[in-house]
Amino acid sequence: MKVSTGIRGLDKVLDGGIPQGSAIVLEGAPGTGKTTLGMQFLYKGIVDHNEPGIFFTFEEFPDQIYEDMESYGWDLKDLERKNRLRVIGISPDIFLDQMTSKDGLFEQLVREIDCRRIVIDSISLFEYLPDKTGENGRSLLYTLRNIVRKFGLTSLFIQELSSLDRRKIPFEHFIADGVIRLSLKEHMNIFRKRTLEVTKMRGTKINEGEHIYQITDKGIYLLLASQIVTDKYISDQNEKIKTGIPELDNLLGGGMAKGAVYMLDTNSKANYRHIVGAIYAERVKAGNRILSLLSSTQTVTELKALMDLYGIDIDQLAREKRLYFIEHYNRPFPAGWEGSVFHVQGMENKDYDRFLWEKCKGLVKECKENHKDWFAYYDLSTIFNERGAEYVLRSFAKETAFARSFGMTVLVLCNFKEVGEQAASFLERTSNGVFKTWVDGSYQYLQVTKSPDGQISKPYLLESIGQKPYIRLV
Amino acid sequence: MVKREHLSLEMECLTLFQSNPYLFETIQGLEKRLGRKMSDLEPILESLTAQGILQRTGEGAMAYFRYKEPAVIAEFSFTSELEPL
Ligand SMILES: Nc1ncnc2c1ncn2[C@@H]1O[C@H](COP(=O)(O)OP(=O)(O)OP(=O)(O)O)[C@@H](O)[C@H]1O
Ligand SMILES: [Mg+2]
Repeated sequence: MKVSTGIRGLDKVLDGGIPQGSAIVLEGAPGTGKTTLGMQFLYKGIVDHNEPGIFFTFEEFPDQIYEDMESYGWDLKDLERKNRLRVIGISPDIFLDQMTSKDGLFEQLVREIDCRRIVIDSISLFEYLPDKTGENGRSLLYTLRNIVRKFGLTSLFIQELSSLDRRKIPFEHFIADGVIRLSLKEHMNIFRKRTLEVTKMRGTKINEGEHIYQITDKGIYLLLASQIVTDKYISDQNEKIKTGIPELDNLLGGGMAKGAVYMLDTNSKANYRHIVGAIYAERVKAGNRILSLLSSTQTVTELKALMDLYGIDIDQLAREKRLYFIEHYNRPFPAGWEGSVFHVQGMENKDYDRFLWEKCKGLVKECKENHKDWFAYYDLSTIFNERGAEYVLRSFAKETAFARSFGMTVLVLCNFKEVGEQAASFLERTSNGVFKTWVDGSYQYLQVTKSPDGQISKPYLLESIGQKPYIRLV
Repeated sequence: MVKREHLSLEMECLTLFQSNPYLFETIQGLEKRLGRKMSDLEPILESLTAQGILQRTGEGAMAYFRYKEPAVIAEFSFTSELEPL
C-alpha cells in the first residue's frame, strides 16, 4: 500500500507514494521547505485521504507554525478542533521519555485522533541526547523508528542539514526506510534552483535524479525531471523535428518543436561539437534549407570536416544552394559557393539588420512557398563580438518571432556565463527551449532546462561513442 | 498579596499555553521557551495547576505541563461544528 505524499510530483517520483508505515528521513538546509513539505504531507493526508496526523515540533512554537502555514491557505487550528490534527510543541527529552512509556503521551495522542501519519521536526538534536543507558542518541532514533512502525504510522523525520557535514553517509540513512533530500543550489552561477532528490526508498521504485520544486501559494510543487515520452504530445508529432540524438529526442517528446528557438548553453570547457554536428547533419538529411552564421572558430573547413564525419558533403549542398552562410570574416570559400555565402564584414548594424530582413526573409519566404523547411544555426558570441550586446538584446526577440512565423527552427549557441547574468536571463526567457551542457570534473553533462512543452530533464551524462551521432546521453 | 511581576509572568504563561493548546513542557523547557528563570516559574505553574488551568503529568524533572481546555468552550466549539450555518 502506498501513501500519497500530498505532492503530486513527488508521488510520481515514488511511483505512487511512500510505502505505508515507512519511516522516512527528510533532510535539507535551513529554509529549503522541510516544515512546509512535512505539513503538506499531513494536511493533504487529512483533507484528501482521511488520514489524521500529528506534527511534533521541538524548536518551533506551534502557534508560529499555525501562522506560517496560513500562507498556504491551510487552517490547522480548524483541523485540530475537528480532532484530525495535532501540532505538538514538546522538548525532545520528554518526547522520547513519553514515547517509550507504556500508555504514555505518545500512545494517548495517537489513539485520541486515530493517527495514521506523523512528522517530527526535527531529529537533529537526537544525536546529542543521551539515552537511558547514557550512550549516544543513535539508539534513540532506532527506538523511534521501531515504535512508529509498531503503530503502523507513515512518518517523516526532518533532519537539518548544513552543507558542512557531508563527509560520510549519516547513520539516519541506514535505519530509515527512505531518504528525501531538499537542496537549494546555485545553478550555473546564474539561477538559484530548489531541487528534491529521493536517494532511498524501500519497497518502491524511484524516479532518480534531482527534480526541481517551487514553494508556491499552495505549498510545494514539484516538476518531474524526466518524463515518459509516449504519454504526451503524440498529436503534434509531425510538428517535431529530430535532433539526430535519439535520447535527446525522447526528452523533448519526439524532437525540437518546429519554429522554436533553442539555446545551447555551453561553458568554455564543454565540447559541443558533436551536439551541433548531430543536429546539423540530421537537418540536412531531412532536406531542410539551412542558414548558418560562421563564427571566428567555426570556419568552412571545420564545418566540412565535421559534416564528413556524418557522411555529408557540404560542398555539393552549398553548390546546390541548400546551405547558406553568413560570413563576418573575410575568409576564402570554395569555388561554386558564390551564391550561398553572404559577406557581411564591416557592415554597420543598421545595414546588417536590413540585410537580414530583406535578404534572409526573402529567401525563407520563397522556400516556404515551395514547402521547404528552414533550420538556422548560429553562435551568438559572434554577434556579441561583432555587433555588441545592445544589438543582440534588441534583435533577438524579433528574430525569434520571425522564426516562429515562418516555421524556421533555430539553434543558437551561447555561453550564458560569459554574456552576463542580465543578458543570459533575457535570452533564456526569450528562447523557447534551452539545452545546457557543462563539464564537471571529468564528465560532461547535458540537461534540457526549458522546452516549449514545459518538459525539463534531469542532467544526463554525455558519453562519446564510436559511431554516429558520436554522443549518447546516459 | 500577589506580586505585580508575578501577575505579568502568570499572563505570559497563560498566553503561551492558550495560544499553543498542544504544548507539553517541563519547567526546564519553559525556562528556555520563555526566557525566564525556573525559580520564578515554579510558583506560577503551581498556582495555575491548582486553579485547574494547567495540568501536570509525571514527577521530577520529567514532569510536564499542558493547557486544560475549559470544558464550556470545548462543548461550545463542538456544537458549532455540528450545525454549520
Ligand atoms: N506562500 C509562499 N510562497 C512562496 N514561498 C513561501 C510561502 N510561504 C513561505 N515561503 C517560503 O518557504 C521557505 C521555506 O519554509 P520552511 O519553513 O518550510 O523551510 P524549512 O526548511 O523548514 O526551514 P527551517 O530550516 O528554517 O526550519 C521560507 O523561506 C519562506 O520564505
Ligand atoms: Mg522548519
